Amino acid sequence: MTSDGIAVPTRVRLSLAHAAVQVLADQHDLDVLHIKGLALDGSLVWPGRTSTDTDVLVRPAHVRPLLRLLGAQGWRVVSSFQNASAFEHSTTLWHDQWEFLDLHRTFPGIDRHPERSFELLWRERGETVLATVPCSVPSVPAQSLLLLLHGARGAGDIRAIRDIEHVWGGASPELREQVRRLAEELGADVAFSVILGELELHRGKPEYALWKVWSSGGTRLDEWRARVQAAPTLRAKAGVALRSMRVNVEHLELVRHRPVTRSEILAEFFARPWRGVREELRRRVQTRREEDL
Amino acid sequence: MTAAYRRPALVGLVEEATETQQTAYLAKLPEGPIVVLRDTALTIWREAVDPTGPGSLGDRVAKAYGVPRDDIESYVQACVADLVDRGVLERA
Repeated sequence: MTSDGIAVPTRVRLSLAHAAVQVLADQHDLDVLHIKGLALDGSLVWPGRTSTDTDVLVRPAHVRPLLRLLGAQGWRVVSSFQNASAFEHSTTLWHDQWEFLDLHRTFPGIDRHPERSFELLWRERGETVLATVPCSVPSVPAQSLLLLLHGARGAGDIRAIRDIEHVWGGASPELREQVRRLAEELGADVAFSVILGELELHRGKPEYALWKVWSSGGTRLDEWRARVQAAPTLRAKAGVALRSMRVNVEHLELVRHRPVTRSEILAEFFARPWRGVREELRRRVQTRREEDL
Repeated sequence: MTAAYRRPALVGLVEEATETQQTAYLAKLPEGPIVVLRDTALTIWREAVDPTGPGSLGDRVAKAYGVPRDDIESYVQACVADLVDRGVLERA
């Protein structure tokens, strides 16, 4: 009697996914802000922009309880905080009904003081309705800032460029001023400088190298060096350096769409350094060619 | 006037319409699954939750399709029972 077997459009599934997370958060008094994708204010979405997953930013103190609740509801972690990104800011989960969820415990660019940053965003929050469920979202200036900070990591990605053009290029002077003030308030000066073309003014700051790599591109070695540089303490730096030697099994399984064997992990362990060296050599050859021209 | 049935509080709904087709996607939240309603099932669900429609549910669905109520009453009741069983409809 119901139409089982009919494909559910992605945008419908994502709307319901957002709603599912909000309902879970409401039931347990957890603070969640829906960000990017379908949660965006219409004014920030350029024609044809699509979404493929659900993103939420969670109050840091509520991350663990929410992860436990999500696990009980059938979500499983497919990429942990350490492995999902260079900033270790999010974890990716999968649910058979709701598909991918990116749960952010902080956001690259405003991650110096995660609890304080979240509170600032939460204080000015608004609401959008998804699948008839009211979902908390950052204010429009905050949504703009988050989208711009995300775009700043795009390294020339077409979608990131379009986001920046639409959100910053199309912003009114008033909105730009609100976004600038918010960036300052949230300590996003280095990251936001990428949008303004002023990253070089922040050379010497710990996170400069990481934003340089993420905005302009770089080799694997560049990224790992930058991650070590950006780590706030010696212990954190050592942790990053150690992780650089480990095989990212989660990523390998995602890419190969299946569990990997021990021998495959071992093969990857030895292959990675060579790939890194090859990348570095290619980059040096390219640089020399450009200098010769 | 109140409807005999309603959408449960924790059921999300997305409705979409093209020139030729209307579809409702419902899901108990947060667990799912997604229930897709089209055609007759969608008409029955909408009439069931509509507080303004005159007559019984069977009367209204029969009128919507231009058929005698007796011809479809048992189908309507079976459909309602199925929707209740799936958690996307409940008695008001």
